[in-house]
Amino acid sequence: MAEDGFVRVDGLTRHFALGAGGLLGGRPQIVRAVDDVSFSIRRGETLAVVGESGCGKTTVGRLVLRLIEADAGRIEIGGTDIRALDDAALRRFRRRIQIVIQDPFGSLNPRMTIGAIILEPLEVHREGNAASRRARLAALLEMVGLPAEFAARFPHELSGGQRQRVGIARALALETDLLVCDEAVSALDVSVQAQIVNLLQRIKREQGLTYLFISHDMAIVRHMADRIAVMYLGQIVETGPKRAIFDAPAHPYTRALLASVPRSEPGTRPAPAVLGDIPSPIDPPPGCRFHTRCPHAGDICRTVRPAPVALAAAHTASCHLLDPATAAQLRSPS
Amino acid sequence: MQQTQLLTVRDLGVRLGGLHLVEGVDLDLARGRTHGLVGESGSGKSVTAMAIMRLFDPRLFQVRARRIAFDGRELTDLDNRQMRRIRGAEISMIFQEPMTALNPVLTVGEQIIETLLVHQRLGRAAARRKALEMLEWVRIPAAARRLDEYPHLLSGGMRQRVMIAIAIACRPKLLIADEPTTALDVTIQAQILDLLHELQTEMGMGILLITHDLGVVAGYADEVSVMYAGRIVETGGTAQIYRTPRHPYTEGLIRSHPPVDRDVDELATIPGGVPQPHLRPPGCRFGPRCAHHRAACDLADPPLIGHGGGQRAACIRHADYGAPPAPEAAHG
Repeated sequence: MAEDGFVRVDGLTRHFALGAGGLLGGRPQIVRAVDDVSFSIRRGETLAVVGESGCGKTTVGRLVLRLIEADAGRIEIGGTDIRALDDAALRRFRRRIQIVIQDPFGSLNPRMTIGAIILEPLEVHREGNAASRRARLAALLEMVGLPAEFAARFPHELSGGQRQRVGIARALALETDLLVCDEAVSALDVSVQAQIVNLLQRIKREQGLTYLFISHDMAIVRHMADRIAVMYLGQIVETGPKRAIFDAPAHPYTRALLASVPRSEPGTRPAPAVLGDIPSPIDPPPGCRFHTRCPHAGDICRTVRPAPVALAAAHTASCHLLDPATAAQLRSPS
Repeated sequence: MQQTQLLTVRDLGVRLGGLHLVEGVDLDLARGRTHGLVGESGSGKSVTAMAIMRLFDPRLFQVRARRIAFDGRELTDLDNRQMRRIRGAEISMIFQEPMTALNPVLTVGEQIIETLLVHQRLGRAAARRKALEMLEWVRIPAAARRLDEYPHLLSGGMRQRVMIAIAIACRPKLLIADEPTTALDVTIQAQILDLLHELQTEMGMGILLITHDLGVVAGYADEVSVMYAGRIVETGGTAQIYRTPRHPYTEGLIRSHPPVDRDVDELATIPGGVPQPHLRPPGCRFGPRCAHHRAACDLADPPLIGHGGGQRAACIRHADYGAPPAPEAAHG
């Protein structure tokens, strides 16, 4: 994807080897977690990466932050080739890219106060003096809507929503440009979830942040995203502006995903839109990876990986059905 | 099917020492119907289900109820042995995480057979045939092969199907489904909910559907009870509750859930969080979070007040809710 972007990811690939082939020493199993994934995010934009278990969305987030190393592909953030940075340069660069995870409880040191936790990034990067840090802490607590006295509390004294506010404050302690939100609101009860969603939107506006918003929840994604990339088994199957994805979903998987979400409308039941289970990302199906569950699958889908087809401005989907060159070979779409 | 009462719960309370986990819960479920029990973490919905099933250790928990009438019998009168005969046979339960509920060292078949042998006079061979039939009922592909497999080989969706097979093996009259699809991907959730609905239609069982997901309840429940901080704050027909919620908490819950089929500018929020049982405020438990809070709310925990058509809400402001809710409050 050659369009201008603050974040530009091209051909990102990461496979994991599972053991050494088991007891009988067979072929080692390869998890194709992320396979040739490309996207870009403009400055100030929210790109949502959405998909179900095993689709690789979490790995994409970790790869962009270089918390795990890619096997192949290019990651450019603000013009810097992230994969080319040495350790010292990467450490400096990390001041600008941060992550908020699902339940920060596990990552909040139980013996540190909330204040110390939020200021830890400043300490690590030797930023400011005692007075400026105190001021920064007060500003951060206010930004995420926590009372000042919370600085002296410990993580176990906080509710899930409050802990997530701490996680966000810590992620913004330095001069963050890009925030990766990995299921950042998924573990929260709905009334608290709405508070954190609104908080994330407000600080994005106020701080001019760019979000890579990773989620399985289509309703939250609809609310948060400017653009959406739908992943299935390690690959992006459809990408486009939010409106296009929700109003004119093109890939059979995107359609199934949307159709499966329960509507808050009494009496309407989502019909099971796809049959069968999500295949394992270990040795995923050849050709189009969705073909085992796709109601339209034909011979070509079982053998040839579909290329992205441009449908409208910045809206592409990888499906043989949408490609005039191959659609004729498939049964007429229903 | 004639609508006859299957389960009637009156004034159910569960205490752990001095903590009131659940108080004054009334529930009604008719044969073949689904009653949704909705609430956030700590609302007491799972505690209610476990109390009905008598799954609490009486040395730790004090469970009291004026009535738990099930299928013409008063469960509070039964001794533990009689209750054991009902549990798993006439009332079954499925849980959120089928991996922890399944025994990892027994095959799928053995776990279904176990249930059948406990509750029915069957030989091993007949029980095995029945177990296979159950796996086919829950639409598990290659059921004959799955019978001899261990749970870890199955996907989350398949495990939940196995749990359902075990739960319905004795054709229960009541299935308590506690967050049955919460751990599943959304395309698999749709399959499991559809399966439960089909089985319900075929077998005529009542379902008590416990969930935090308002969308799931909207689609599958005939009646809904909303729980907050250990009490039912609103109950009634599903359509009624969604269209004209009478309790501010119900309304807030519906409005804070982003719709998937249209855009909203900003999500409505409920300030604060659900209070822990030992920190519940006096009077209305929702008072401190309520936009309509007034002094009278702190005086007493309001009882459920009728609004016609079976809808009841525990809010003293009920009279103000005569007007239709604001457009953004009614989803869809």
